[in-house]
Amino acid sequence: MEGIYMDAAATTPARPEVIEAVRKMLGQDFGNPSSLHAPGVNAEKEIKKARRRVAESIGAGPGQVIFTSGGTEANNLAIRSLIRPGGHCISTPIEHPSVQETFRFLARQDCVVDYCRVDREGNIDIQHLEQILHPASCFLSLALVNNEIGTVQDLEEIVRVARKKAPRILIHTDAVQAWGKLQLDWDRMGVDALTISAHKTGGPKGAGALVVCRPELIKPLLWGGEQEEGLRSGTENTPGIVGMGVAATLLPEEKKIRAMTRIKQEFFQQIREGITGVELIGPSPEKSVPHILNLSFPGLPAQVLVQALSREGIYASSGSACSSHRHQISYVLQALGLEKEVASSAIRFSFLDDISSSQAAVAADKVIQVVNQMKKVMRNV
Amino acid sequence: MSDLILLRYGELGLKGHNRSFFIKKLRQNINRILQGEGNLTQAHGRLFFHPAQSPDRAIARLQQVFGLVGVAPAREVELDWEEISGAAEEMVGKKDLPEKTTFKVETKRANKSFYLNSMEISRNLGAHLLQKFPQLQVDVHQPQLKVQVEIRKKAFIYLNDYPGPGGLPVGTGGRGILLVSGGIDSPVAGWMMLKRGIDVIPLHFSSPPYTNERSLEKVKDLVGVLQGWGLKYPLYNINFTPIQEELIQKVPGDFLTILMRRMMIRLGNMVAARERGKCLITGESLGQVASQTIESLHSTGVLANSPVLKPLIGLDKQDIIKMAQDIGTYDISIQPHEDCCQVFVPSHPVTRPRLKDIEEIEKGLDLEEKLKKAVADLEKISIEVDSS
Repeated sequence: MEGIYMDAAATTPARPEVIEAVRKMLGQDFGNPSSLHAPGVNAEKEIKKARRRVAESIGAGPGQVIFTSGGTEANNLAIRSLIRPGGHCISTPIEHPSVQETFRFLARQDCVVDYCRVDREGNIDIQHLEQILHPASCFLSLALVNNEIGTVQDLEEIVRVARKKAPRILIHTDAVQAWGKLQLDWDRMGVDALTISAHKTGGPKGAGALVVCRPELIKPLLWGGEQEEGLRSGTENTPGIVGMGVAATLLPEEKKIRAMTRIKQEFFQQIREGITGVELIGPSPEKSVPHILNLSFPGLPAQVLVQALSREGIYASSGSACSSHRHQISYVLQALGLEKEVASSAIRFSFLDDISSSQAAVAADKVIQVVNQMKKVMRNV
Repeated sequence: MSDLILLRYGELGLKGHNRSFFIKKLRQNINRILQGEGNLTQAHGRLFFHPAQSPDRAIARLQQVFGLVGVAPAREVELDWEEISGAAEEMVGKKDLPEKTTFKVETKRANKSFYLNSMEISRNLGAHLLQKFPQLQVDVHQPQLKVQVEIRKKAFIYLNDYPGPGGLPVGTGGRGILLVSGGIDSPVAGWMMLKRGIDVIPLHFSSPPYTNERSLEKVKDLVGVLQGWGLKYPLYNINFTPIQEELIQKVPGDFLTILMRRMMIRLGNMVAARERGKCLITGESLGQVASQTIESLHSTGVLANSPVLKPLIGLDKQDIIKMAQDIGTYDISIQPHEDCCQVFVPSHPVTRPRLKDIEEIEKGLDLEEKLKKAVADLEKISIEVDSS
């Protein structure tokens, strides 16, 4: 691909080792893990290895990993398993659609869902959380990292507060944008379920996992051949799962993650110097997740800017990839309380973990050039 | 025995010595629209289509060929009573007949050597069908089902027509430039003019990055639908961006849309001159939006070097939507991608612009070179029609 890809929060290219593993599982090691013969046994072994690798990447046990078709399925599975019918649930207004829409669906059934307020930077308001929690609250779901603005929640504190107020509450976190960008420690997080997805960090699309504290709490969404201990029926996606396992062994090290944060800060600095009126959305770059930077260029419609940048070989996004087709102002940005003018001009830059300083500098130059050119044109509008 | 499709054409018959020209065009169009679907033959002053595969599929496509008023499934069999009655029985059997169906048999005997005369054939075949299909009842005046038999060197049997789209064969009315967007109206306008025989060239203005790549895909899909109705040109795409950017910078916002439309008419003139087009076609409908008031239409119309055909001018939006649904463009048109006008729609566009004011504003612009370059760089995008 020509150009500089700055949409890693949407998806990433699979790493060469992952491609090799996927190829092998599609061809040579094509067996069905449920089969009794040698190819089946071999495939089962490979899945077992992948399960161990994924579990290790966050410090959980292999028996706690349920492979799914991706983040959306894992989020659905977690929420629909862990709520209690008619129970009181808590979430936030800035969740991914796969969480938000599931809650909306459940609220139309018989659940009561309260949404905890967030501040302008996307941090959840712990005082408000305390207010809406009550002793019988049964379920809390929130993303560890917001996919549009990169806010990292103080999960340990949130878990502590929630459990204090509601001792029997079950807690799920969507860690899709955190896996491979933050050190995840299953025991320290202390949640009951956690979602990850392979393709956001060098793995294949169509593979994800729900990691659960107690698998017996999970109620399957799909019924059939009882794969994944009966929790996720359907022939295992062996190429996807094994590819995810390989990706789990190749997550960037801390040094690389620190470099990403530095590069992101430089990128932001360069743009701020080159463009007047640019606004940072979300937390300051050293506080947000290393790969996400959301900037607004008031006066320029975000989708036009994305298209103009694309013509210059800079691939960024307006809103999240899932919702940017709809051309509405992102509900996440609205929930932050941003002015319409700022929200409708917001662009998310999200960095691949192997981006270099010089690439980022070239990209920043292009952004400056495109934005300033477009400002001249749009001055009148 | 073979399955064929009898094609009937309507208005063509009225066109005197132009008739052979019209039929030639009609045959060309059928061959193009149904490429690879079978063969076309002419016999006894009739057109027959011999489908290579399922006649149903061919019939559906033939119903999109302008100039045809009827398409009837037919059978060609040997001059033999058993064959004739057997074929008629099978064809009627395939129809999903309601509880009570009135019918009649009509026979023409051009070949007098056949041993039954036309009255006898009609009577015998009628009796045969009545016996086989208890739901049939004879009604010689207004039958729901008409079984027609023609005795020539072979025997031909037809059932009722499926209606054709009518109109005139595309290409009999000269060439026209359709200003097409991704909206609902302009594809319908193009369809209406194709129907009157105009050879339509679709011309689109795109303005990346103000428009989405996907909005061009949408226009391509719309043109693909019109190709199924006989349009034969690729999509002509003009990059409108440089012109639009200059207008945005120099023109008061409330005049932007009307000035953009005037530029489009100028470009339409230039393309028409280059392609020997004899008219421009637009999807305007009176009063629908600010740029379609009579004053606005006047301010664009005065620039045109040839007639501007506006077939939707007197239609309500609901009528246009209904047509778009029937044509097959509606579902594509309503996909949410803006065209080049929409990003900059002023909140209060002028609705009754005075030509004098517009011309005054245009004096401050120098777009001659940009217009020429836009036409010189025009891109012709051929469209792959998914024929499944």
